[in-house]
Amino acid sequence: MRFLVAVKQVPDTGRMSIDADGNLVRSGSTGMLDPYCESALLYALSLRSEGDSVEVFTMGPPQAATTLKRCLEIGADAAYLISDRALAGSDTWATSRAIEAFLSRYGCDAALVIFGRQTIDGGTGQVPFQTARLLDVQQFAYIDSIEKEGDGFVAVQSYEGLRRTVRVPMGSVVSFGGIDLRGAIPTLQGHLDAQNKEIIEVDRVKLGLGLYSVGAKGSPTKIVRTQPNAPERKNRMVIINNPATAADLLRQEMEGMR
Amino acid sequence: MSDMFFRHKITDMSGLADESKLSGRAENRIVPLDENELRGALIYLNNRSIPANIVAMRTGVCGGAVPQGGDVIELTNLTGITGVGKDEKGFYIRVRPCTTLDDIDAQLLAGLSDDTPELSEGALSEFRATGPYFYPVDPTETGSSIGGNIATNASGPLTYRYGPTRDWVRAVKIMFADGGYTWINRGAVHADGRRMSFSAGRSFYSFNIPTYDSRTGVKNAAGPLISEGMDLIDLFIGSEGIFGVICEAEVRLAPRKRNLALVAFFPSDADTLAAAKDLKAGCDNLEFLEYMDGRSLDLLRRVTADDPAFLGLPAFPEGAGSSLFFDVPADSPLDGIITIIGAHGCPPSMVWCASEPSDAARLRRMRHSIPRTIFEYVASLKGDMPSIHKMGTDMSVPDESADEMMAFYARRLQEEGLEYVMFGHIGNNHPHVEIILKSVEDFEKSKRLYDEFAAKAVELGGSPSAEHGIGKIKTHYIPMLYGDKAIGELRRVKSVLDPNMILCPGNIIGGAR
Repeated sequence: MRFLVAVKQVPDTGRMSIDADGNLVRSGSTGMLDPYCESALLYALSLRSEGDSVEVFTMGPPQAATTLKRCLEIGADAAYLISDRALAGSDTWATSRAIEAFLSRYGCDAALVIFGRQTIDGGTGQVPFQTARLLDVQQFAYIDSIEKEGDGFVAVQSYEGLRRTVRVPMGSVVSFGGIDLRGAIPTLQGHLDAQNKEIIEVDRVKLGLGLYSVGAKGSPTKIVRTQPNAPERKNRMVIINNPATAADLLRQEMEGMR
Repeated sequence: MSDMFFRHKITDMSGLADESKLSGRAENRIVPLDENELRGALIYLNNRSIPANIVAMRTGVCGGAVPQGGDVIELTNLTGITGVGKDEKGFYIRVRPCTTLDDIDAQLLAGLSDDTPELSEGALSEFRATGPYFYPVDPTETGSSIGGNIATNASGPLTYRYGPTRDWVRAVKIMFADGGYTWINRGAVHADGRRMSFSAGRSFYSFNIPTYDSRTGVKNAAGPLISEGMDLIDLFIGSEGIFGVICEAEVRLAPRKRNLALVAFFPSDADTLAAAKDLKAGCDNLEFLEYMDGRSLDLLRRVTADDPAFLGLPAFPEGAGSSLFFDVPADSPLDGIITIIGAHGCPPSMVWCASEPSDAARLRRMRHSIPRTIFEYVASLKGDMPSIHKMGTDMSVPDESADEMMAFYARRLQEEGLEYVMFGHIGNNHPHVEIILKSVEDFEKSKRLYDEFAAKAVELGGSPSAEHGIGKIKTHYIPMLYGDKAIGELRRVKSVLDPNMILCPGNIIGGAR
């Protein structure tokens, strides 16, 4: 069985800050593997049996190869880098279209296409759903756990207190809901093994995509303006020397908020 | 610009402690907005002979920043990189004292801001074109301030390759108790034998330096570096603020490398220590070499059992009984390392390997979480046992004495029946022993034991204070190391530079009021 896992390089949150104007300061960050994607990869690796393969793919600039390398170090068997200048500026729809084109050519025999619920930079969570729609396969979101059973899989979905056990046919798109708080760390053996694994580069032409269906040109979303979410604070200072008076005031204020 | 300043009455003393958890007391808090206010505050306090305790990030572990009376001057507003330059030895930055190492690292990684003043022509553009660079002293606590680092001659894991803070300080701007100040550049002023003379502002200072020579050849942060013909700058580096206040400094930078961070897990402490010795002898590409003994791993296992997200790392590999943590340049060969660690029971599958900076940072946090956990544990005991404080050992010894010192630690700790962990800079023969205190009796017993360890380290040619400094809780180590006259001789130097003895009283030479 082939398990194809979507991963993304996101800014290294340990090296980021927000400046006084609300802009992201990346401090020369090289990026890191998104934690949702990492958890999805760990799930996929736990599903792998003798003869199976876990393969990762990402769409991003050439430097995203470092993140694929880390996936190989953690235990992935192969990696694909979908990279082309024409893909820059893709919104979630254009991204899903490129991923669908990739999966149609390189992953049509996948037992599962596996995503994290979202990524920490965009946070839209739209790509798994849109990819499933474009592939015309079933989509199962908020997966907690999944096991092989018969000619398919059985998964437990968990969403807002509701847990549901479902059968997942082969070829479905699944997205895992959580993050493994412990995360993964490669071993030196994994690092050495990864030296012998190739990262396969795929560009727009190999995917058969036209210039106007990808990147900013193929993206229906147009960002007009970005601004920090800085709610106006309405503080006031009250000086009270008597605790009983302070307690009364707090009670009144809290009642006023109800 | 004004030399006016505010003095705020201190009513809550709980915020005066540092990481030693030594209790502090002070009358007023002064937080200068700039150097002028700092100068005004010093003149005011000096004229009234009020102790001035200089404080930055309070990350020290010997009570150097903990006041025992007088006023506290907090330098928290004096932050930022104020220039970049290049000389024959490479790039350097000028930086205000309360800038943290984290801030410095982030700004260097980002290539410095566009408005950073150039201290030599074209320095900023060349810095950006040839970078990235970093400040290579890594005292584990990266939230510490550069001024505090210089005042204590801090060091840490990277001292293994790069040496202590002293080696990276190009110049310091010192403000004296009377408000006079001067820049002191390395190499500019030397003692004439044991006589030091220099001018600062309108003052001219001339005095005899102490008659002892500071111990070199091992990691040593026990006071300033004293020697015949010594450089004036070395009088202020490591002097913990008793001679003057560091109000700006220039520190050198090194090219930043891409490293692999490795944590190798061995079956036992004995295997780990043997591997450490072989790595030191056989590999010249280690950036640092850190030890985490089996008890340290058990401590982390206990903490993560309650809070799996505490470390943000997977469970240790099965069979992990002890470990070494080290970095090597990413492009260097690994064959030699694999052979050495493999011979001591650690195959590549038992080694965590971080090539991404975010993963390397997670491994560093794991190493740092050991003392962090102990600090928090000791802090939690203060309510029931207010007299206790953290008492981590900080002894280094020469290579040839390392085995004897380790055997001495193990034997005496076992004889006293104390629970402990051992971790730290094994590459510099400088592990930390932290006793897990259970009672006031444990505390008293450990104090006596630590003095034994210090005496043993001195006997073996080492230092009782390799990197933490002396502060207020280790002043008895100075006579142990340099003889009974040493304190008096240092005090005489202070009486010239700070005649009213107001600066950081209690540090190094004792005498807190």
